[in-house]
Amino acid sequence: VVQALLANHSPHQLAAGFTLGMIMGLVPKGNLIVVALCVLLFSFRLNKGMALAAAIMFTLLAPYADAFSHKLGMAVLSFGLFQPVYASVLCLPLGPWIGFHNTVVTGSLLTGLYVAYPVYWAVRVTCTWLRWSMASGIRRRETPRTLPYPRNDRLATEGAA
Amino acid sequence: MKHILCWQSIVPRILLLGVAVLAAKYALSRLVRSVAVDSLQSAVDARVAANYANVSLLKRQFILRDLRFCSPSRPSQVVLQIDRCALDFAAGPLLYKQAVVECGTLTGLRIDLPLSAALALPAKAGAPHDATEVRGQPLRWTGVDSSEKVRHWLTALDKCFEQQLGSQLACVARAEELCARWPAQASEVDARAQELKRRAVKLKQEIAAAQENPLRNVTFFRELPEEIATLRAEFNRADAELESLLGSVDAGRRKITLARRDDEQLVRKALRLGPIDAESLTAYLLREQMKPPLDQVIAILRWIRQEVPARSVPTPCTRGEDVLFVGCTPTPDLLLNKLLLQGTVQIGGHPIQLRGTLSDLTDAPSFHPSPIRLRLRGAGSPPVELQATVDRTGAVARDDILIDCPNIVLPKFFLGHADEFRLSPKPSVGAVSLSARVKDEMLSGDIHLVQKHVQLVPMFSGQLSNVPLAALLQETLSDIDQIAIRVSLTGTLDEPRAALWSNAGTTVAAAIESAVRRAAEQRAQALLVSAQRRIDEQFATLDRLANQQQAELQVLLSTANRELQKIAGQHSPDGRISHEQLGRRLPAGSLFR
Repeated sequence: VVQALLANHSPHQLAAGFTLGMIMGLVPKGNLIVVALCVLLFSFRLNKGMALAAAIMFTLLAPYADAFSHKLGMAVLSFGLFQPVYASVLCLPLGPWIGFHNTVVTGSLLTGLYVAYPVYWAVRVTCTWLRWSMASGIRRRETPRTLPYPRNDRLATEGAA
Repeated sequence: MKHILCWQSIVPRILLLGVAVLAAKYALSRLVRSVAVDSLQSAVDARVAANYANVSLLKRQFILRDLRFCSPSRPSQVVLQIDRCALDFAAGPLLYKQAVVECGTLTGLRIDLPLSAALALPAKAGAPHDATEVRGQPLRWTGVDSSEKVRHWLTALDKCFEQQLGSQLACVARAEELCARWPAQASEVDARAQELKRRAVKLKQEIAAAQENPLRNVTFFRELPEEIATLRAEFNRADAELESLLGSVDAGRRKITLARRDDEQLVRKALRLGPIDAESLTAYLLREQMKPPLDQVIAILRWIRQEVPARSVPTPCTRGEDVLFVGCTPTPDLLLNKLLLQGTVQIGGHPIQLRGTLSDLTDAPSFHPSPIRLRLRGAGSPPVELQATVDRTGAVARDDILIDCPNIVLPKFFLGHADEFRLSPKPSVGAVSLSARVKDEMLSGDIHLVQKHVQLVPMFSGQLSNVPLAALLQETLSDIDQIAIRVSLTGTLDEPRAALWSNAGTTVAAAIESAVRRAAEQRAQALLVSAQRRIDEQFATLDRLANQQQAELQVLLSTANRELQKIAGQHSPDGRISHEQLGRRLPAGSLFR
């Protein structure tokens, strides 16, 4: 399963997919923000499996964070200075479909964005370590034909870039 | 380029596109039908089913066919049926997450049940199924329930006509007593006459025996005049007794005549009843009958207030809260600008074709500047007009219902109680108008019902069925031409109250009093005639007996008296011979001459 999830993607793609999936999972569905995230997911070269797995996992976990998201969203959306901006955006065509006027949508989106880079970094490190340990295991069983891990990793990163 | 435009590649793609469009259309129709049915079910708390749905994205039209609303308690019972529902959506508001129906039509709308049953849908799952139990207390009448007075009056009427007055008449009792006394008295005089006759015969025999040897019976002959005088005195006394007896009969007859007058007064007094209270009679006749339609009106108002609350609460989000930014105005998510209605409803047991419009129906009426309005008009005869307004635009919620049926054939119905006394007006033309308003929580309104050319048929049942009153009452009720009823609604929606006024109580009370008076007069006359007939029969028997006995006694007494006179004449002191006359009558050679 891990191999299937990791596929041939680089840790960067895996981490980015996971992060995007996490944000999608946290944000309530049924609005244009999630649609936009889906478009992003399918537009970039990211690991779709990791993204979908993360989305499902965080969809299940998200309700537990709703209280915090609601407070955060309420604080942001109640900010007096931005009220005209919010109102003008809401009054635009498709404005209500965006769903940003919902406290949990805004709160969870902001939460997701806030933790996006740490999660990305952690997942990338984890994936790198997983890949290295998997490669080490294979080397131990078979005659090593491939180059050591750091070079492979560097090549994969360069290829993805 | 040539390769790209090759028909082998274009045709399959076009076919694939067509299949995809058809599949999308089918799936969209199914999806929209499912969403519509779920939304309607949650909105009206009924089981909703639709056989066919079609979505036209080009025409922005949504069509549902064979839409059925079933009672949740009895799924087989269809409450409301709509043959076709077509809704034309506006495209622009969809960009703002609003569903606005510019124009819609509902055709083939049928309400097969009475309105009260149609509204008897629970507000929530597990809620009571009776509409009146959904909210608030049942309707209460203002004033004391005075129909008990009428029940007491009817019981008194029953007792009044049930009592056996014939046995209480003194004249009959006296006549019977006189007739019963006569044979004993007459037989006593008769026995005395017989005794006197026997004594006269015996005296005659004794005289005859004494005359064979007068000298030996000197004493007898000496006492004979005294004996005869005694006997004659007794004869006279017996004669006087007979005369006295006949006189007592005449005196008894006079007393009976006097008693008959008293009896007449007694009977009329016993059959006299106090007046029936008109207001109580109105309550007795109409309260129970007016309650179901009033309950329906209250149920409709409560249902409106339940479905469209006084203060719109934004639909709660499943997660979080929708913030209304400064400068934004709340708007309803769903708005039906105009919905044309065409269908059939049952009013008074008659199907009536209705056409009308429902306008400005929204899921959040307080966010919309116009109130919800319903206007329905009867397509044929009788003319029926219904208007309803649900206004949530102001600070105070206001609901209005106006129903006007100026010329409707009212079906046969009953006034009063089936187990005692009730009136059944025959079907006739009448006018019904209803106006009810709920302002905030205060209820007000009037219901007017005028039935013209009414023919009331009285019916007595139970104990009162023996009262010979129905025919007379129907005669007197024929004078009533129309009945007017007015019910005023007051109180609040939770504690509704109603006041009842009608001319039915006054007119029917007058008719009942007149009928009772006539029935009592007839009953009194019948009783007195019956009593007089019985007295006459008794007296006829008595007269016949008296005459017969008087004749017999007189013959007896006169015969005996004659005999006595004869004896007295023969042995009178003037006819008696002296000793010298007796000596001269002796033979010449007699020693004693």
